[in-house]
Amino acid sequence: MQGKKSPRKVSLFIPCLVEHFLPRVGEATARILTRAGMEVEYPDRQTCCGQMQFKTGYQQEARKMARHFLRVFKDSEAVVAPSGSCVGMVRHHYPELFRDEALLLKQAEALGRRTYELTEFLVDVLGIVDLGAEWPGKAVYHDSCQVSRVLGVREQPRMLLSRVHGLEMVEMEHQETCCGFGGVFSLEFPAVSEKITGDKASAVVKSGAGFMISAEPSCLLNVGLYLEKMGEHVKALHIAEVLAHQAGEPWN
Amino acid sequence: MELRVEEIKQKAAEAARNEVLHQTLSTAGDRFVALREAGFSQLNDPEGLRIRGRKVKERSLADLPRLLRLLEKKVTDAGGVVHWAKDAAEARSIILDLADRYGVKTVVKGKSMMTEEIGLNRAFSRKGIEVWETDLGEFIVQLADEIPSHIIAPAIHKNKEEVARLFCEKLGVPYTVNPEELTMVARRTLREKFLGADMGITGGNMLVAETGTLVLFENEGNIRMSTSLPRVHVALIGIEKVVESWDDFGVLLTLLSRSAAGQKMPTYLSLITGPRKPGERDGPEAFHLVLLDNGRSRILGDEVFRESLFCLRCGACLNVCPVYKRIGGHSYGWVYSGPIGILLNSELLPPGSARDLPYASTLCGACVEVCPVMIDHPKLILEFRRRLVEDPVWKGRRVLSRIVPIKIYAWISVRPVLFRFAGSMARTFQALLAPSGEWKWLPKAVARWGAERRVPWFKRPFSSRWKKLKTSGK
Amino acid sequence: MVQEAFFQPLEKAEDIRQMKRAMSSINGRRESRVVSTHRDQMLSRIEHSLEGIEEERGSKPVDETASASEWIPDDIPWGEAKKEIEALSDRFYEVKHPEDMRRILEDLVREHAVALAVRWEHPLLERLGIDRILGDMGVEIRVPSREEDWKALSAKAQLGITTAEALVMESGTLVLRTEAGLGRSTSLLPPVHLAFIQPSRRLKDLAALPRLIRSWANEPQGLPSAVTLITGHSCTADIELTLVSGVHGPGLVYVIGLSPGYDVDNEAVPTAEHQV
Repeated sequence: MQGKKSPRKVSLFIPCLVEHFLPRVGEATARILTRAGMEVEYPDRQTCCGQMQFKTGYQQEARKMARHFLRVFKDSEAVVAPSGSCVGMVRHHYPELFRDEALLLKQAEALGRRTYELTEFLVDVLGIVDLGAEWPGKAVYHDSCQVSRVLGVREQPRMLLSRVHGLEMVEMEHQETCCGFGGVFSLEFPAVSEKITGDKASAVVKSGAGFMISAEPSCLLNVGLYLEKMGEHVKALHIAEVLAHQAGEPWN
Repeated sequence: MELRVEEIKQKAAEAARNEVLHQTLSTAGDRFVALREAGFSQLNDPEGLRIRGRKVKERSLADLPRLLRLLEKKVTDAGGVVHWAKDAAEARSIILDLADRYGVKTVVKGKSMMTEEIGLNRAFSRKGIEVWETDLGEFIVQLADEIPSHIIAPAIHKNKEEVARLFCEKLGVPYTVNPEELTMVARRTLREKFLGADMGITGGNMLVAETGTLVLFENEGNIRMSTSLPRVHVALIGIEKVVESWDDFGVLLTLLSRSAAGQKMPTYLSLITGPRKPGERDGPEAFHLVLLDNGRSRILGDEVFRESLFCLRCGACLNVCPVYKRIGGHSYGWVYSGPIGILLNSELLPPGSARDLPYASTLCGACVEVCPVMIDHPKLILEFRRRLVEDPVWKGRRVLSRIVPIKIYAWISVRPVLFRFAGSMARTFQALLAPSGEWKWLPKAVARWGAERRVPWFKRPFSSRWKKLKTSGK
Repeated sequence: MVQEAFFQPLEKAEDIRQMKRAMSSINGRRESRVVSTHRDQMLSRIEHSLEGIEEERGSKPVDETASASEWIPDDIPWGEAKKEIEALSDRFYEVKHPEDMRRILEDLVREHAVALAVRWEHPLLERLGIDRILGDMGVEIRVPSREEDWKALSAKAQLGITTAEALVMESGTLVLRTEAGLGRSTSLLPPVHLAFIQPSRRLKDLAALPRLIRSWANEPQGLPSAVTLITGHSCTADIELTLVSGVHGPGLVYVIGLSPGYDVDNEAVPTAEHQV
């Protein structure tokens, strides 16, 4: 995963949740990559990676969506997404989906090798840790399961956050425990999901942080919307928003 | 054991409201996790050991027929008798037959998930044979007429007041909430049963084919009692528990001891080879080993699910599972619970009967990190989900409210123009259904999701902001 | 290798055959060697399931953690075992002289109000003069000769005395074998278990166990019906995760390690100071 020669052109892969519910995360991602010296493009025929279909067992449908995805990003030098679960889908599950189709399998594996989660791209490929960002306040980082366990990305977000001006990072209990979303799980077992989310929200509040930062849009929405409904003042933020913010810029 | 898997959604919802249960399971889980970490940190190469453990299991299963034959020969040479049971009914019949032959009136039992699988206790009761669970947790659960809720701590869901009340009612002893006193009550009651029992029944942790030896782990001493004091010892064990050599045993011993409770060794490790030999003053006169299939040979033949047979029954996956710690062991509706429970219950029960079970997971992967033999639970769970949709043998019932949105979404996702159009339609509906910011109507599942969360707002999508973003130079 | 060769090892093949015949009569009605209700069907089903698997089969001998299964030298101190055993909340004592032994046993008898003790019929215990030492303290010590008595007496006794085939230093584990005269109940039923161990019977770590067990299996009579590895005392945390000792087995284990120079045959003669 180390950049042999750092790519100049980067294709944005904007997850469907970001497209519809967190477009500012997409904007922040684009800004960060530009500041990092990349030429950023957005293949506008992209729609969705098919993760939901795959994880609910509808692999035929997921395969169709994956084929479309492969076509869209076929010519990309590097693909970067502000989401661990989507990158995990492409890297780990696309090859499974195309197990029996040799040509598509090769394409999927090749694409997987050049698709990155944002923080892993910045740190591991570009070797950048300091983006000159500023975000005063106290924050806690939630290790999303898909980012930490599936992609093995744990240090990179922390390294990036440690360079943000004015930002004090604190720990919370059960740092690595799941937030309880689990996609379809939250619809099939809503009572249980709520409780698990509640535990995570309590841990966030207990840490004394004013912000919860995550690299995963689904965790962000899950815990963030819970905190909002409960009337808590802790704000949930995507790491891209924090890293994109520079001194003097307006707050959203 | 009665089949209650289809009740999982209802039971899980009830259990989720039980804060006491959650507190108990969380505390226990955290403690076991800490013990396990301490135990593993003492090893030079914990990851290497896990890999070796997995390889031992892979090799043993690949060679199962030869090992089973070798095992049988060695057990027989040592004076034991080997029985082959293809399913639960057969296993029950073999054991009841033995009880009949030996004139058994009272049975003492060590903890065994397999005996739960085959519903042995109930079969004994129907024959008028007294059965006593002797592991303290199992004893408590038996008195309460419940089923165990955790692989290594069966009564974890009961607090000491409940135990005190139970002992008072069922054993006629004075009420006391002191755990030591309660334990001594159990000790005295069961000591009498051990000394008077005709037959001891246990499961088994491992079988070493090299010498025909049954390996049993415990901390209490009830298994030593059950295997030493009665005239007859019957061990019921799954065919997947065989390994070839004492070296394999060494690897699994380390992994199981440390994964379960962070111990270097269990308090008692019994290596049993046949019945007592001439001249020995105690020990059973007869040793009967019942090898049970009950669906395992079918799982063995399944390329994906085979690895669930590697399970050492250490309970580590339960201790880290956020779902298990909320819903408890009983919600899973059958013998096994937690992440491994999703796998084993789904595999051992008739295909497709545990339809909601594979969804009782967030796929967080905490289990994979702690499994001593590196079972990839999420991968197998996803395969179950796939089979419920796509495999004719496994097909679950059609749930239109699930299928329709998924298929429609997939259909529009390969048509980008339509996809964008659908997005803007959604925003139009949003304006109609939630003019002042509050949703007037939502599909049922989404509304339920939104009980404790604010339902998110469709924003002007990223794709329509891109042009402006690009040209503005960011 | 059984300590002290206390019974004549059955070396001759004929003896072994006789022994097996004796065992089979103990098992009662002997049908065919194996009760095979569906044995062949089960095996062929398994074979069918495994068709096409290319994984390697069988076991690989594990030899890289090569701590020898040899006994560690007598002069190595007991420190590690003592630490492990005490960490398990049990007691370890090294005895250099018979007076040490007597004193430890006096304290034990007094602390646990021992009126009746059962012991293994083992030459080491006989040579150590356990019967006399404990007898002097007013303890009734029995070596049950009849089967009925083993369980009943062990259940009544406050103390069970055994030796051990081996002690694993790394974990404080005692390894006991059943033999004629060495009953399982002795270390199981009484509330206190006392085990004597000689310095020549110590192993460095748990990695030595596979080789030890195999060496026993290779003897003409094979493995005994039970090998029991004891690490600490009976305990449970099944009630609200509260640790309780002595739930079924003994609640306390004493291990007495004999110093290399300990003169086994020199029983301590009670002196005026030591008399109870």
